[in-house]
Amino acid sequence: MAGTVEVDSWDGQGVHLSDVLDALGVLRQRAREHTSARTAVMTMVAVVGTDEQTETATATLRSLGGNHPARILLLRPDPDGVAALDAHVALHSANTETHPINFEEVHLNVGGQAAKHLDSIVEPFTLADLPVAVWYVGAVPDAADPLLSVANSVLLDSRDAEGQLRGLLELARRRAVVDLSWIRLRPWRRLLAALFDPPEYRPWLGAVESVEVKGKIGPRQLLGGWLAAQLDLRPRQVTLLDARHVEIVVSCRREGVEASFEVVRGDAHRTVAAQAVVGGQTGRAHGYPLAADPLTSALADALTRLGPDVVWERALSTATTLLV
Amino acid sequence: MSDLPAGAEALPNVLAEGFETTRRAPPGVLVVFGASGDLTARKLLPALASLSRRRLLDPAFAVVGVARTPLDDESFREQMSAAGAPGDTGWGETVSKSRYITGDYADAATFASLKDALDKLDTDLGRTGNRTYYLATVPSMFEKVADGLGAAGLNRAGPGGGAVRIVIEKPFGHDLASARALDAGLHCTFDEEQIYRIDHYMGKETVQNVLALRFANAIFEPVWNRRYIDHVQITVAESLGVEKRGGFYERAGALRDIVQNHVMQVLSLTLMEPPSSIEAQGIRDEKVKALRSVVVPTPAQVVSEVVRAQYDSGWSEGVSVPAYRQEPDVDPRSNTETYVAAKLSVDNWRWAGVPIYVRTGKRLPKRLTEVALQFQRVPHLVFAVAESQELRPNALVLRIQPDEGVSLRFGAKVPGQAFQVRDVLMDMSYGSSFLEEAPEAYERLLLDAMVGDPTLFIRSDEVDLAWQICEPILHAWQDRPVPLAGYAAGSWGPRQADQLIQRDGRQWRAP
Repeated sequence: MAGTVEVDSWDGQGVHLSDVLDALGVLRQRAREHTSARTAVMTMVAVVGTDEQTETATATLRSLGGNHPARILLLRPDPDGVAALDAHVALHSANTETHPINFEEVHLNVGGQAAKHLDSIVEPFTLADLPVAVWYVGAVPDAADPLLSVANSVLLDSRDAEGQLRGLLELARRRAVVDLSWIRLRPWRRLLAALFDPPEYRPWLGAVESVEVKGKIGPRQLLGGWLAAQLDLRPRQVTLLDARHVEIVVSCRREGVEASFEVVRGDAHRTVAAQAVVGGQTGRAHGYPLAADPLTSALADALTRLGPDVVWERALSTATTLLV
Repeated sequence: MSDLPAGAEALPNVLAEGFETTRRAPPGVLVVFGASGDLTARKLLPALASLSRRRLLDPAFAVVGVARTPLDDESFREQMSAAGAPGDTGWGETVSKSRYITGDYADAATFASLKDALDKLDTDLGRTGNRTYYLATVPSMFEKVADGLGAAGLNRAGPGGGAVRIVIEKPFGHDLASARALDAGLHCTFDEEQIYRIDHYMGKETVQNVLALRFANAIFEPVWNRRYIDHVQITVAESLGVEKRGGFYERAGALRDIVQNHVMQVLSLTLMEPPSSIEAQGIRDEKVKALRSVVVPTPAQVVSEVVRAQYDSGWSEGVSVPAYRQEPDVDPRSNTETYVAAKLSVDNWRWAGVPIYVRTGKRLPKRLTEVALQFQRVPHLVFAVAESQELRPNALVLRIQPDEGVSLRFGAKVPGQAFQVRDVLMDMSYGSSFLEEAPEAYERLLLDAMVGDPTLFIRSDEVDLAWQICEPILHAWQDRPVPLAGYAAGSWGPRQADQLIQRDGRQWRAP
């Protein structure tokens, strides 16, 4: 990942939005002689609520800057605070192997009623003709949030819904939602699917008796919903159990023969492993390493697929029918 | 493992829904002939390791290396491990399953050992039967290896099914006759559908982007023809000399090494008609039609419209470099061309009358590949001559390497009181506009071969047609003494190449 440096910056306390926009223009003009043309593929908006979230979001988005050039807009709304706008505007440069990529980063602390109308703050900053992705850091927005009106895609983490999945479904009806949890669970899903790739294992998909999914509330709901939806299972066939790490066991019976297909945390550090046991015979084991930095990796992945995900929506919808 | 139930192959893997957009290699084995060689170490193993890192290899995947160099499984695995990223346990698993077979390609015992190894891997990995043979050997071994595979029955799927493919590297023959002989030899053991001829240029994202640019955008296609385009320039420039490849290059030369394959591939993508679909057959059919439209030069045309040259000593990238004839393994009196410039014409409705200028060479000022479409001038320029002197016709440039992207040159007013117009460049840099890290060419092509997508591989008739265009040039050079021009290393080629295009009132771009 390319390292980034701050080329120039501007700060303002209690300013108007037009001051921030002007400052952005001035910075670009001033930096023109030693930065190449601005490149961007989207406007990336992050909504944060705490200092920790601000730091996490800033570091993550900057680390992606070299590969995902975007105008970054980091909003910290405080509807109960004093009506004021504080801003930090910076130009960053990420040096790739061949050329520098310059991107802009705007931090806005929005106090007072304006914090409830972030759409009006974001609109002037969006880049023409490019998609706007809004990442809700550590929270799930209300489906009526006005900011959604400017978002082409919404990035969130269903873990933050704390089991309240119906709100996410409502949201998904309004905008394309990319769930970072769903992306992080990809290795488990992919490995389980891969167990059924050999044609001789395919018929077991139609002979599933029960599935057991362990994990924290969000992941286990999603995976349970996914399996129930894809395998056309009844809710009573799906058992969800609380655990620190995600594990999936699919139990089958066909023509008197039992089989189980498992994806569990691997023996090696940060790996997942999958194995099939058919008629008492253990099949080959598959394993994959997990990403070293799950958030950056999930976000990088999310930014490459900003459209609706019907499989996720189906999983979510079915998950609401399961007992957590 | 239970026997395969009837109809199991047709059952969908419902859990894989949503993953189809990411193409992954199916379970199987990649057999690399020439496994101890440079290409394997430098390109193939790193490409495979990168595929593993991207999780595009199936866990049930293994490599079998075959070569004459004595090596054991462990040493080969060490070589494989070195190509992987630290901590990539998936690659570690692939490495642990991989094998190495020492043997001569003419010896049936080599293929018997290979068969045993593949049978055992099929048992260990699950009965996949998918085998991709990659011939990273010298071309003279292609037929021998194919024959050996055929004699051992390894050219066809086993009773358990699976796909069997063979990948061969360019050059595909050194002339039309040898290319046809090679094809005939390969076709004795493999069907055309099983043969994947690799030209790594086709694996470059930006070569593929020519298709996207042309056929995903409504604004380019209407002007992509003789009504608007004055001429096309294709440049494949290398800044390096022949380095350690003097021996090979002496037998090849720029025409065989670059024009017959890379240039013809880029040319066909540029000139082809829109395919009916983006699938392999649709694209390859149109490429073949485009090549068929290229006018095969007569001996007289070769003399007047093709320039051959060889680099002299000079300065390249700040370093004093020797002449070609002073390079290692090069005949001091060599007449091998290191530079070719040619004017080609195309006989079809889209391109009739539009000259296609191609040039390629070693020791040019920089390494780059680009296609430039130079548009016609405006019918009448309303600006004063003095104020529009710097204005040139519009040009759309597809940069294929190294700074991949697209630029459009057009005129704009210079700020000020006068109405002065000047060229400006609108530039799209591919690397800074796209999110995904582009896979390296070999990585893409290896995956395509294992997946069974031949779109970016060269079909037999494409090779044949490319030779039909290039061979008359070789013959003309052999039959009559066409002067070999010289050019200083580090320059853009010989004076004769400039004259070739200037005769038409045009000039080479300064890319």
